[in-house]
Amino acid sequence: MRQRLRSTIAVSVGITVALLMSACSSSSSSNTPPNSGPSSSSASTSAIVAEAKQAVQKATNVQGQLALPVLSKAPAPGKTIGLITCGVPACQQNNQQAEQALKLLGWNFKPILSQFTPQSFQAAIETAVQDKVDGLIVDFFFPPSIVKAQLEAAKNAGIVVVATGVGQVEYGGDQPIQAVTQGQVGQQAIGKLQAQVIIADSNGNPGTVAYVRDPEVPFYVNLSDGFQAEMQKAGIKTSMVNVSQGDPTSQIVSQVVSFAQKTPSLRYITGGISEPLLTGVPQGLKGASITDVKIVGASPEQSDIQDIKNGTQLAAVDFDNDLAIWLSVYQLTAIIGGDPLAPDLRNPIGLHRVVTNSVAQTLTDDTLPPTPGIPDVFKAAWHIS
Amino acid sequence: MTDTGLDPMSGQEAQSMSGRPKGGPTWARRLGFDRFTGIYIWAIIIALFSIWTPETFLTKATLSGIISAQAITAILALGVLIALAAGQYDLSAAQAMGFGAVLCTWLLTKHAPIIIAILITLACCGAVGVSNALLITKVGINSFIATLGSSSILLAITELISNDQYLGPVPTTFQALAVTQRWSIPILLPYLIVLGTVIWAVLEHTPIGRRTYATGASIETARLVGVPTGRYVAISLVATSLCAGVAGILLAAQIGTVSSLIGPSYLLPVFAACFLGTTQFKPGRFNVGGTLLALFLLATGVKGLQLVGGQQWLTDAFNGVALLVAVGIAVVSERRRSDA
Repeated sequence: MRQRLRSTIAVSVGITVALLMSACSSSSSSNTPPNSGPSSSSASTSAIVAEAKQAVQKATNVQGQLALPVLSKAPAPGKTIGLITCGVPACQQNNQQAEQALKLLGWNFKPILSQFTPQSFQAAIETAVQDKVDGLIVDFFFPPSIVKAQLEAAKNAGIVVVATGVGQVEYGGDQPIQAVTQGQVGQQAIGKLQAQVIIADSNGNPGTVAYVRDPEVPFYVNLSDGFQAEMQKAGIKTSMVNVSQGDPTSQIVSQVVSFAQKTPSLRYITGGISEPLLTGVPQGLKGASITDVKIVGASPEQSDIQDIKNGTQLAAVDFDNDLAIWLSVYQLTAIIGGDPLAPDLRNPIGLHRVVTNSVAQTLTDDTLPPTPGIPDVFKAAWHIS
Repeated sequence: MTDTGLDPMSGQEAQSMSGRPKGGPTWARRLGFDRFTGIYIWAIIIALFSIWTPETFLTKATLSGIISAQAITAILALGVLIALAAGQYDLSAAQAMGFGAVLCTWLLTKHAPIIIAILITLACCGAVGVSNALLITKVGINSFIATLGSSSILLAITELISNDQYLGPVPTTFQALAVTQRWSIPILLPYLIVLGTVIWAVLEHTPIGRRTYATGASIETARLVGVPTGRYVAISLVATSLCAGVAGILLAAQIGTVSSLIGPSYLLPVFAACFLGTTQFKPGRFNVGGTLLALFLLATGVKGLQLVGGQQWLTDAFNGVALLVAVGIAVVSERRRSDA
């Protein structure tokens, strides 16, 4: 029995040593080493900084930037459009936007709820096929490969499928998915804009920059790819702080604050989405007496806008999910009505807004107004007076 | 009161694990490996990271970070511990915390006075406990099933309240309830100490506590010796929900913005801490000291790994390994003692 106790302790020590050795070796691979400043020539850096400032300026006021080709004829009423949706706040927001857009067209809206399991996601698309909807908007929270058979079935049933929030995917032509919004190109553009906010604010010399993401979520990976690419262009390295968004909020905050603690050169933190990846981070940093780190949020909620107003957060990039849904409906009207859809409308970048302090100060109820152009630009495109 | 059949600690098991040492003294026993492994492991972890990364680990920020990150989880764990002590699994506790956080935030965003919002939240969370108690003691549903069901219903109610949106921010004066610090010590620590002391005192040093443990150890035996087991089960479930309410209020104050999904992720850490806690101080018994030690031991290790740059999987692996190591050593030590 004494032998058993010794064995237990020996095994325990062995596992612990192995873990710690892994920690040692992974500390250099999990997070990119801190940045030592721009390495590109000062001329190109200043051009990138100028471009960033211009992009941020443009994104702080997107009034008049939304434009759409008018369809050849008004969409015929009475179509039924399904939307694969989920129970989280962002999905509910999508439902509201889809319902508004479809109501304008006189079309029926059929939200189909999916849980966050592959089986449920497959079942939701199967439901849409059984319901014989005319068009289907799929909000992808799983890779398209999981629902390949279901999408084929939808195509065979004559259902026009458009995707939103999907990463890299084949679309158009003979593919089951005919068009995309907030696809890989749009997601990377969001990441790029997040980078530009930091480049512009720091004049291209931001010190260490951390990007908080859940690497298992393709959406975050695309965002961080776009972010990293723009940072690399400016000669700035990014440290990825990988978290699991399924973890308790306090654990995510602890991870981010720990990274800030061990990286004294850290000056900026941004991430895939403010809630839940950056929720509580300002308070956590304050609690750890870290006061020289600026936070750039993403997809801001009311609390983020308040934080921007009071200076706790530098700025936030709004993804404009609402616009993505309206564009999905536009794509459906064009495809179902037989109108050609230009390549930049089959996979539009979107219109992403930057909420700075000056923008936030103008928001009386701490919520962003609808994208300028919704619904007027769409009504015009659909011949609705 | 019904025998659930899924009691966290059967009478025989509890009796076996809580019995006094039978064997002679050994080096392992003298070192207290049967009861204090957690303290040794904690000390090793602190020493290790103090040597490894002294400039970041041995700081007030680390201390306050660990307390801030764990205090609310610890309050919830103390609540769950009460139900476990009475032999009941309350799987709705984490969602009750989420419900409390969302309800309190919603009330505050509707401009309810802070004290009113807190009282309503506590009352509603207490009602959740009453409902669980009725389902288990009167209807006779297994606690595992009853609280699983009520957790789902609570999620639905929470979604209704939040309208599936993020709620917040909460007023700054309310946030001060959780984010205030004195000498780098978060105000959450005194809350935890007070609550922990009260629960420890009641469970360990009052007839109520002894009867609760007796109910948890063997509900039938306790009933036969005259303990009104149904009442103790009910009290424990209400206490659990009230603790969840307190945790929810503090969570809302700490992070300022909440959604209906905020609660469930706390369930596993809380149960892990309670079960790891049964190997410490009073082997075989759910106890306050063991639970808190377990939580802070794991949190210290995770914090250290985070500070040396460990990947996410490492912290998850650490949690699992620490749990198995501590329980493994305690179980082997206990078995050895029994065999002697």
